[in-house]
Amino acid sequence: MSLEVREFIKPFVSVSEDLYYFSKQAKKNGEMVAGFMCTYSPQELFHAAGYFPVRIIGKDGGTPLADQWLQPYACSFAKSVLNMGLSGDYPFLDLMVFSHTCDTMQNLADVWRRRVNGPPVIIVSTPNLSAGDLSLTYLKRELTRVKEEVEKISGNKIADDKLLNSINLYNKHRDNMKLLYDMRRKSPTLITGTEMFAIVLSSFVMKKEEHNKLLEELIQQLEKMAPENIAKPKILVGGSVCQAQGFIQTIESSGALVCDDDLCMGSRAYVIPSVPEGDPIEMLAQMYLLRIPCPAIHKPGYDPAGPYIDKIKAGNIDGVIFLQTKFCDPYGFNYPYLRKRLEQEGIPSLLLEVEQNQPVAESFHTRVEAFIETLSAK
Amino acid sequence: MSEYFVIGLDIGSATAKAVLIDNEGKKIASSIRPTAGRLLQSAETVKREVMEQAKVNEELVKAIITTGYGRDIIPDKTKSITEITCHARGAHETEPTIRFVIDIGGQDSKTILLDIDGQVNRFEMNDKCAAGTGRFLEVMARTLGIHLDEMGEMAVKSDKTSRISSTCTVFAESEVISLLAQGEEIPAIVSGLCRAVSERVQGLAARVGVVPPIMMTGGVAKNKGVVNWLSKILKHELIVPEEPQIIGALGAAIMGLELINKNNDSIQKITQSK
Amino acid sequence: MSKRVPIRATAQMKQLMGFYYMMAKTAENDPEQKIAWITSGGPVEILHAAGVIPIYPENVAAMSGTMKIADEICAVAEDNGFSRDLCSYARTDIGSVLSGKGPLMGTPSPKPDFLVCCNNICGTVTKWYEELQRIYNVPLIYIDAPFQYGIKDRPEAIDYIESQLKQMIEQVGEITGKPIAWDKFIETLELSDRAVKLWREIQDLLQHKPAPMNSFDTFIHLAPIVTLRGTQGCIEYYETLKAEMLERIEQGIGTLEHEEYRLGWDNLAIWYKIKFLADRFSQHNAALVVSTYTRNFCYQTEDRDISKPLRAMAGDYMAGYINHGLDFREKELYQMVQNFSLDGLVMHSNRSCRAYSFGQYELAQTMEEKYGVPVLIIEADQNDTRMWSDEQVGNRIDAFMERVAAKKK
Repeated sequence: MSLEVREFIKPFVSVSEDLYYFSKQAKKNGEMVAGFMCTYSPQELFHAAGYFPVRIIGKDGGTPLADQWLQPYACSFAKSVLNMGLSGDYPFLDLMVFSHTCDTMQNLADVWRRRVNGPPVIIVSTPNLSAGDLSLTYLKRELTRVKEEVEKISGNKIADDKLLNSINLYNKHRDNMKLLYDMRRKSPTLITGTEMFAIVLSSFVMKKEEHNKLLEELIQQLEKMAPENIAKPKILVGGSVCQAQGFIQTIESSGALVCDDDLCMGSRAYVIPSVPEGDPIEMLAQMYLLRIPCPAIHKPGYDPAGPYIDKIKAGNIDGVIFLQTKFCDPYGFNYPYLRKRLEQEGIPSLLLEVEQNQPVAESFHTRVEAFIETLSAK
Repeated sequence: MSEYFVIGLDIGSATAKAVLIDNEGKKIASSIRPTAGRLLQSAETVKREVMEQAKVNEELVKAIITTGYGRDIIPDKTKSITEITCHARGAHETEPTIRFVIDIGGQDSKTILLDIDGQVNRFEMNDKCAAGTGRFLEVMARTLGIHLDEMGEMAVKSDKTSRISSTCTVFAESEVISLLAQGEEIPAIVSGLCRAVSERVQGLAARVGVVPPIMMTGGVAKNKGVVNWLSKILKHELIVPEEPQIIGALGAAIMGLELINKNNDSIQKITQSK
Repeated sequence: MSKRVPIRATAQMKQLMGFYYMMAKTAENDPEQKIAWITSGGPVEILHAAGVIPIYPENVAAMSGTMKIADEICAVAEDNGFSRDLCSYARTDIGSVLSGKGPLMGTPSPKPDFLVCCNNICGTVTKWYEELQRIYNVPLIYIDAPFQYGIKDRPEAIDYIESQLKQMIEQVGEITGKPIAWDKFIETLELSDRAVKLWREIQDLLQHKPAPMNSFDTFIHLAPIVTLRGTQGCIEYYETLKAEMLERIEQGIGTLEHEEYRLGWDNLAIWYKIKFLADRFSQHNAALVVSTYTRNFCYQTEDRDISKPLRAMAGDYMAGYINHGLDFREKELYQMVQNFSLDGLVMHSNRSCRAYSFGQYELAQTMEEKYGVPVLIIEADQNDTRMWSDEQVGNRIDAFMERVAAKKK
């Protein structure tokens, strides 16, 4: 890649050095910051209320404070986030938002609410059934309730046109990210998987207005680039949460290219579709129900292998690596079926059990290398 | 005399192995030494030993392929390849019909499914838990006050087998002590321990999906008790090569030869780590 | 130690349950008789009203645990890619389906014609039943019961469940080919209501000192209220059990010869170690007299209006202990301590059940700091024996009881 295009990637990559730099800046400027855990959080609502919504991500390291409140069989992502909360590592937050998805998130929200000395907590009671009018009706009422709570806490009224603007802004951002993913599927060498992951991570902690601008500039540059041929095996990374860049980096330094993903901190963050304009609360309810579901959400008739097969075909993927966060139930239950389907399609896959708060282990390294060696031999 | 030779180095956390082959792939020399915490030194030692055995000078060694835990830090390697690929290659080289490899080493165990042409299809590794590895047997030998090498014969000769229900090495150790206190015979306990190791490995194998013929490699393959129990549990005979511990190094060496044949003169020994 | 007077009603329960299993097994070969697999917190009254036989995979898994065959069955699921960190009930059930082995005469449960999953107990059932649907390729009816973080249940959540129940009645009618008669449905609800009230009364009888039976007994006697809620047989059985308990109270027969300490239990039973635990606690003259687990099956919404039966039902299915957050659980635990005169609490930190177990550390600290109630946490699993050590747990119980004794002096 040319030096010039590198310049357009730099601002994204530099965010990884201090994820919450912009949050802290915003706080200094007297702005309000809202932390959210999950892609089921209606960020648009908080944005419309005047908050800068940022995704809450943990970090490497032990979790001695969290260990006091959560058993050893809690996933490392939950523990890491709770530990940071208890340590006061998110001092810039004016609001903390949880959504109801899996059992662990459910209980994390509760423990946080009772034991973390911090900002007010809102828990969005997302329906675990993603289908039909009944869930839609319920979610609309729940979002109305959340809207009223946010207005109370922030002291700002969320007018319909403001909410519509926020929805449009976020839609534009998701379109940009989806376009970038599509461009990579057609021409994987445009940017590396590691760089893509940095762009994704930065999208969670930068203001959408800013990120959109940078994205549009980058996309312009990339459109000028000619597609290259690569000899490396093309990998799709799937799995639950992935807060650490180390995994993607290790896979790529072992001689493969991570061309696509089915990660919650990845393409799944942008699967929320646009819907026809109308009452904004109704729009939000539809958007969050029509989206490709998180494995913790039940959508009748939905095939979790669908997105994998589609992406494998679109990107000519050679192999799939599952980053299975230890103790993640929703993904744990999906895995045997996914593996079977991939086998049926003749796609090799590798399951790696990972912890989200530890540096990449030697065992990870060896397995990834061995897997890539098998792909290279074909 | 062969024009050139290739060395495969398998530097594990317990033992370092070297195999030297000639330019037709024939094994000329091999060596095994305990690593004893010194990866670089033990690698150098076994390398020198095979060169001495074969009476071969440094200049005639055209490639050094490294594998195992210490594969990346060997300074004069040509290439490093994981032990999965090397074990598969070594097994296929030793017996081309092999479809499944079970390697139980000192610190880890692996199960590898091969395609018909000997390529790695799928694999599973256990490198987190001592149960199902040589370490389990080492600990138990100490507890029972016997030699690790005696265990295989003892197990085979015993007509009774104690039930060891703990899957964790630490728990199993206390279980063995209770069994001794209850008056269980040592050979029966040893047979039980061999069965326990085999049961753990069977789980690892089942996750991949066993296809015969099966080869067993690694230090524990020398333990007849485990071999017998494992073949009983898997319901298949196990093929154990003459020198089960050097299969990885052999595979590495063979892959080095293939690399040379592919690239002809452009092969070079790398003097820095990857 | 205690000289235990056996409970006569147990024999009747075994008969009742035996008959039910027999019916279920024969139903498998009867194309006219529909079978549905349902979660323990599922709205089973609709199934009984439709004449559908309900099967409870959780119950079958628990039986496997009690019979100590769960480990080998779980291993089959693990060999098929289901991680050992997943719920052992799910692994036991899926392993049973895949292996063809089970606790009922060695065979797995009869095949379902459809599945009913309600997440008012946990989110794991969602994934478990999705897998069952993939295996059996039958309709899955899903009832979403929103988790409540507060103490009062939100009306929009109750509305949501009510509308789903209405839909379920239609769906079941379609699957069976016969619409459910409304009268039959009301009748079933009334039967269920009576059984639930009886079950609560029976548990409340254990407030008596000495308690006529203990929590480990109630774990065994739990089966009918879970599986046969809504049937006449269930009511008759609990009437018998209640009468016997009253008799014991009258005659001063306690579960222990000498009841010195009274404890409460939180989380599911440890199915394969019931005798060990009962014995160990009774060695200390300690009786477990109440559990959040068995009480989960008799919660009814406070402002129940029986003239709106579907809405009352929706409220009841929201009301359970584990459909609520820590504020509710704290209140419940404290009430348990008060009403049952407890000297301490025993919390089973159940590796399989994140929904029930996470938050226990917080509750334990709250109960200790705020209310001065000693709490023992036992790390184990409901079904998986591989996490268990007699010595470790026994030591902890002994140490805890020393503390309880010292405090009481």
